[in-house]
Amino acid sequence: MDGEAGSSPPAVPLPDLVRVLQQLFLSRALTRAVPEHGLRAWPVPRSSAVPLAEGILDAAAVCAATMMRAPSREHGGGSSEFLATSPHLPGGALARGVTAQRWLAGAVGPPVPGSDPAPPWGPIPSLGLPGPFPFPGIAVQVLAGMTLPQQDPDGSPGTLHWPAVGVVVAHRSALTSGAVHEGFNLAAVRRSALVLVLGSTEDGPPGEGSPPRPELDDVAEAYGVRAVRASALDIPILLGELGRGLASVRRGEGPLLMEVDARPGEDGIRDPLTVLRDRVIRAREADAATVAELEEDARLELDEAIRRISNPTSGYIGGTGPASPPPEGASP
Amino acid sequence: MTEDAATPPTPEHASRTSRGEPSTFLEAIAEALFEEMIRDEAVLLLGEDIGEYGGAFKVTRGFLDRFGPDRVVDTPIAEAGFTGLAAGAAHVGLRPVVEMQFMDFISPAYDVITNYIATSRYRGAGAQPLVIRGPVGGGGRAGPFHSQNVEMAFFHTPGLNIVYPSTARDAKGLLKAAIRSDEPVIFEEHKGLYRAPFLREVLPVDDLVIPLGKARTAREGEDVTVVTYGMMVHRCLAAARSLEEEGVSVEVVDLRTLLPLDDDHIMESVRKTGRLLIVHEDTRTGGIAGEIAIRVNEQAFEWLDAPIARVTAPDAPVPYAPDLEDAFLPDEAEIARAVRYLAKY
Repeated sequence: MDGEAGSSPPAVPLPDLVRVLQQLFLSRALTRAVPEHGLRAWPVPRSSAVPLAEGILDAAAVCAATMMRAPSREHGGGSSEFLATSPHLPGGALARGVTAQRWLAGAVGPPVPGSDPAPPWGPIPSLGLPGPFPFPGIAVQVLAGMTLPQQDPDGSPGTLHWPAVGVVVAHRSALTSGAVHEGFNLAAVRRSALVLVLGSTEDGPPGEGSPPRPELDDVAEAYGVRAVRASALDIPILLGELGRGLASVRRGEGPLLMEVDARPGEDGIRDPLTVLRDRVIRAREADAATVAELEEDARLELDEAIRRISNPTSGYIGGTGPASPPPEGASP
Repeated sequence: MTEDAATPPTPEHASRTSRGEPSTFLEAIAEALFEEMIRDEAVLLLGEDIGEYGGAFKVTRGFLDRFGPDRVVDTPIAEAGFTGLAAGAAHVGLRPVVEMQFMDFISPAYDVITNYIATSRYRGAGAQPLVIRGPVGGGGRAGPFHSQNVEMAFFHTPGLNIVYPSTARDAKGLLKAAIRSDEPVIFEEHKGLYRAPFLREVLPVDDLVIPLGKARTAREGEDVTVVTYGMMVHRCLAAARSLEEEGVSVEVVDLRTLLPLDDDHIMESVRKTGRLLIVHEDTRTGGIAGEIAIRVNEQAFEWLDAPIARVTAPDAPVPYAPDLEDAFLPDEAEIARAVRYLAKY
C-alpha cells in the first residue's frame, strides 16, 4: 500500500510552491470576500471565518489541480483531467485558470456582460470542471464514468488505456453517503482513473507517509484499492502523494482513496496557507516582501473582481434589487 | 456489416431484419442496440445482468461475446451509481445506454437523473447523450415493484426526453434516434409488447431512424380522437375496431414521444373530431392526461364539442392478485364506453 511507514515512495517533481501559495492567497481571499463584502452568496457560505475543513479541502483542491498539470484558459485547455469539489471551494477552479471574477460571478450572480461570457464553472472540456456538485455522491459517480478505461486506439483488441484522470475532493463524512460508495465501488470494479480525496479535521499522528487510519484502510481493502494519507499542512508532501496517486491511476492501477488531514506541528498552527507561507520564506524560495506582494496582489485582484461583479444592473449583488438579467449590451 | 472468422456471430435475435425475417418488439430493440453499437464505437451498454446473462428479458443476449466487457458492462445492483457513471461517460464522448432491469428500479437514480443529467446542459456542463431504457407496465402478474409506468416521475423535469413506443418499427427507429440524440432520453418498453405475436413485422433493411417528438396517427377517424401510447395503443385500436361496427369513427393518436409532446399533432386531430379521450395505463392523478387536457384547453378549446375525458388506471399500486390487476388496467370495454359517451355528447 502506498504511503506506508518506512516505504520510500518515488520522487515526484514538484511544482513551484510560490505559485501554489499565490493560488491559496487568492482562494482564501475569495472565500472571505463573501461575508466581508456583504455579497449575497450561494453557494458560498456567509460565515466569516474559514473553517478548518475548508482550508484543508481547498488546499487539497489546489494541489490536485496543480499536480494534474491542469489546463488553463491561457494554454488552451484539455479534456483529460477533471476535478470536482464542493461549490464553495474556489481553489481548484483558480488552479485551473478560472479568474476571481469568473468564480465570483458564478457564486453570487450572472456573468458580467462584456467581461467573459464563459460560465464560471466552465463547460467541459475547456476547464475540466463538470460541477458544481453540491453533494459528493454524484461527483464520485460521474467522475468514475469520466475516467473509465477505454480501448487503446494503438493497441490490440482488449488493450486498455486511461485517457482521463479525475479527482474528487470532499469531506471525510462523504463516506457516510451511500451514493459515494456506489460510485466508488463502480470506479473500483471498472478500474477508473479516479482519486477520491477526503478531508478530515481529526488530528492524526505526526509524521509524513503515515498509514491510513484503520477504518480508512478497511474501506480501501473492501474495495480492493489503495489508500494513502497526507497532511494538508505539508503542501510538498501532499503534492507528492497526489502526483504519485495520479500517476498510478493513470497507469490503470485502479482508483485511490486519499485522506488529507491537518496534523499540527509544534507551533500548533493548522492552516495550510500559513504553514506554506512560513515555509516558503524560511526556505528562501521567496522573501517576505515578495510574499507580502503576492498577498496584496490577491487582494487587488479580488477588489477588481468585486468592482466588476458589483454591477448594480445584475441585481444579485448585496441585495440591491430583484434578481434579473442585466440589460443587453450593458457594460461591466 | 462485415464479419471475419474471429468475430463472434451476430446474435440471431438482433439480426432478423438482415435475413428478411419479422422481428418482435423485443427483437427490434435488440437490433437497434446492436446496429448502433456496430455503427458507433462510442455506444456502450450498462446494466444489471446484461452481459453474461443477456439481460432479464434477454434483449442483450450474445452482446457480451460480440462487443466485450468494456462495451457491455455488467453492473452491481446500484442504479444510482451506474446511472451516474453513465453520465460521466457521456461527458467524455461516449454514448451510454443504461438498462434498468425493471423501470421500477429507476427510482434510486432519480437524484442523478433530475439534478445532474437533466440540468447538465443548462448549467454549462455540456450535453448528456445517454439513454436509460427498460421494461415497464402491468399485466404480467408482477405486482407493484415490477409493473409500474414511470413516465410521470420524470415528465416534470425539463431537460429530459421520454419515449414510449408501441410497435416494433417504432421501438427500433425511436431507440436508434434516442442513442444518436445529444439529449438524455428515458425509453420505456412495455414488457407486454416484448414478445407479442401480433407485433411481429418485417422491418425496413435501411437504417431506420424515427425522429423523437413526433406522434403518429395509428388509425384515422372522424368522430372522436383518442390520444394514447404504449400498450394502450393496441387496446384503443381494438376498441376502435369494435366501435366502427356501431358507426363510431375513432382516430387513434400514438404519442410515441411523451416529452416533448407533439402538440401540433394532437391539436390537428382534435380540431378535426371535436372530441378527445386520453388513455393511459399509468395512474390517474398527475397522469399525462391532465397535461394534454390543459394544452387542448389552451390551444383548441373552440373546436371542442364535448368535455375531455380520460381512461386510466386508478390511483393505486399495481395489484398482485390477477383479478385485481385485470380490474386495475384500462381495458377495451372501458375505452369503448368512454368513446360512446363522447360520441353521443
